[in-house]
Amino acid sequence: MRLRTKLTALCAALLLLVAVSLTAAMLWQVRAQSYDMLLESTEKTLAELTSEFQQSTYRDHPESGTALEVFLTYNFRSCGVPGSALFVDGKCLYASTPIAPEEYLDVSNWTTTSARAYVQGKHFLILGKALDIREKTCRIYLVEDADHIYAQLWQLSGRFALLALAIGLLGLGAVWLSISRALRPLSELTQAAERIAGGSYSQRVSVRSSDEVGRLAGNFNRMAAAVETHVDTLREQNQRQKLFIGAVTHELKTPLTSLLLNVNTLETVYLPEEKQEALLASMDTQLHWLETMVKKLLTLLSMQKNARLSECSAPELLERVQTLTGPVCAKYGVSLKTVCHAGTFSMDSDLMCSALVNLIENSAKASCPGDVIEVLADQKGFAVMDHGRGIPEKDLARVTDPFYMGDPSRSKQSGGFGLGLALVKEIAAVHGGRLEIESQPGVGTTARIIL
Amino acid sequence: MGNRIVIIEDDAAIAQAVQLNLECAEYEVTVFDNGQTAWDALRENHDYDLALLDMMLPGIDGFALLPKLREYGIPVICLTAMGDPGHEVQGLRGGAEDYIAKPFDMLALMVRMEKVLSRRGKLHEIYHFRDLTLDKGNRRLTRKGEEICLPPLEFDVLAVLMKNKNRTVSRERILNEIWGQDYFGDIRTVDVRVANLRKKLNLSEAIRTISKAGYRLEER
Repeated sequence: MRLRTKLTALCAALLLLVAVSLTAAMLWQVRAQSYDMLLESTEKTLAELTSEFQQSTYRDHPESGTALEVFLTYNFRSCGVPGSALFVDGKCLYASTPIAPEEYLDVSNWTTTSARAYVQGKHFLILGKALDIREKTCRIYLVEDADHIYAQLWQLSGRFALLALAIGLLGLGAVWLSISRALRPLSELTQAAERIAGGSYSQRVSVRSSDEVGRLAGNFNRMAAAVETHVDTLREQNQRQKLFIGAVTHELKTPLTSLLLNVNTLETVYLPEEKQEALLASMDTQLHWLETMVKKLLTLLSMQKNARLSECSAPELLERVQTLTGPVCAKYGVSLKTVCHAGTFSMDSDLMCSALVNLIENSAKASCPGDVIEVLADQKGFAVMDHGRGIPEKDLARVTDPFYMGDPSRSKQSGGFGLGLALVKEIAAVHGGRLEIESQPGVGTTARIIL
Repeated sequence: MGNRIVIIEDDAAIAQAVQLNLECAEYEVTVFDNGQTAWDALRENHDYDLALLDMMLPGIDGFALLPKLREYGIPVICLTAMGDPGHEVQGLRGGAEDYIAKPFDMLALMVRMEKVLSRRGKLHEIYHFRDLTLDKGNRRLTRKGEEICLPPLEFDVLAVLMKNKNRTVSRERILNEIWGQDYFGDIRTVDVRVANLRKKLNLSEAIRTISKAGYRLEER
């Protein structure tokens, strides 16, 4: 059952309960009042009857016995009040009542009493009064028909029912409308959730109320935004990984092709010994190349896991870098100048060292003999500056992609894999920093590791 | 004289291996490792029967070289690591005769080369071994100018062996080269023909039996 129907049914039940109980209370009240009024008028009649009867007994009357009874009966009857009864010493002398009043009233010690009776489908009010006349206990009863009270009650209850029905229907309509209104944002939320489940993560809801539903909508939007961001990130990561795997596969194809060809040749072709050896040497080179590449890839992939950050001194690191890059600088005829304005960084000094060595190697390859490469450490991190040939603008965005080489032939000849800057970028990321490269062709390149 | 082949491939190891194999099969091979140098050299001399072209080249890439090679009337087989259909279509549309993705099998490459050459009518099917010369087109076998008559099947087996000089060929491959891929005959036929050839042409130690692999005509 839908929530709207449920809530409306609940409201209907409540309304019905309230209407019924209110009507019942009202009718009860009306009945009590009507009885009171009847009681009052009956008491008045009884009082008149009593005083008239009493006065009539002051006249001459027989002393005792049957004559007295007859006398009393006569006088009582001559008062002529319908529905009255006279009992003297417990004996009924006269009764014009439809029921026997003493059956409904307690006849013990009382002077005035009243009771209600329901006999054969009819309601009665019985009033009794006791008085002493000539040492005899007289009880006078008056039985009044109370049926009209109930007729009136029935009539009233019919009207009440009609009124309650009308008000109830109006109320129900109002409840239905307001519930529908209150639940509309929920149905919008449901639809939005369905669309998000179907994959359109940019879906949002536009609910602007300050109640719980409004808050829910706000949280829903925040959740959808978070999901969208995460899905986008995952997608992007997936895309990057696919590209990466594609690049790796592509890089593996060339050495594999030549290995396969060489094995094939050695297997089937009859070759002089020196040619066989040349082939084997070439295969050895290829295999070493493959091994180095696999090692570098493993470093790239497992860096996050293996990094151990600790407070390390920057001057010491620069000293180590200078020692390590000595041979490379000598090979390309460049010199290294280090400037240090920093104390310590929280870093993995081995990784950072390898990143700087990579950057310096790149700079050395891009520089002309006699150039100076500057390595700077300051509060922001490290920077490697050269005055070499620079990177064309179109390559700048892609130089950190794995296996990307601006000039493939030159890089391959100098034994590169196109993994150096990808490694540096990853190292910077492991330290919670980033790699920034600024370059102008012909002027030089500045690579910054910002921590 | 064998067919003149130009290899334009920047990976030295692959170029070397292909060159070695082709030279064994009496092709004349020239290698360029750069698109630009190939471009310049071809302008001077473009007397080649076939080009093996790598698509990813430094200097000028393979796709740019293709129309130039076509202009010179050199059929092209593309060798590339970019083995996806898009590149294949692009290469073939650009005028390549065939396309072979790395890593490839040398034998497959050589079969494709022969197909392309014979389509172009450029396949020089004249093979030499010591003092023997076999002209497959004219079905003539000569020793020092004197013609030797052989039964057709023996001639064909000898042609296959001479074509694949210094290279091991299986019995199946010999039969396939003679009758095509669908031959399912008795491979012992080959053994009989080889025995006859050894006897008739005095090649008993030149045609070596390579166990579990086939035969090899060895030139020392």
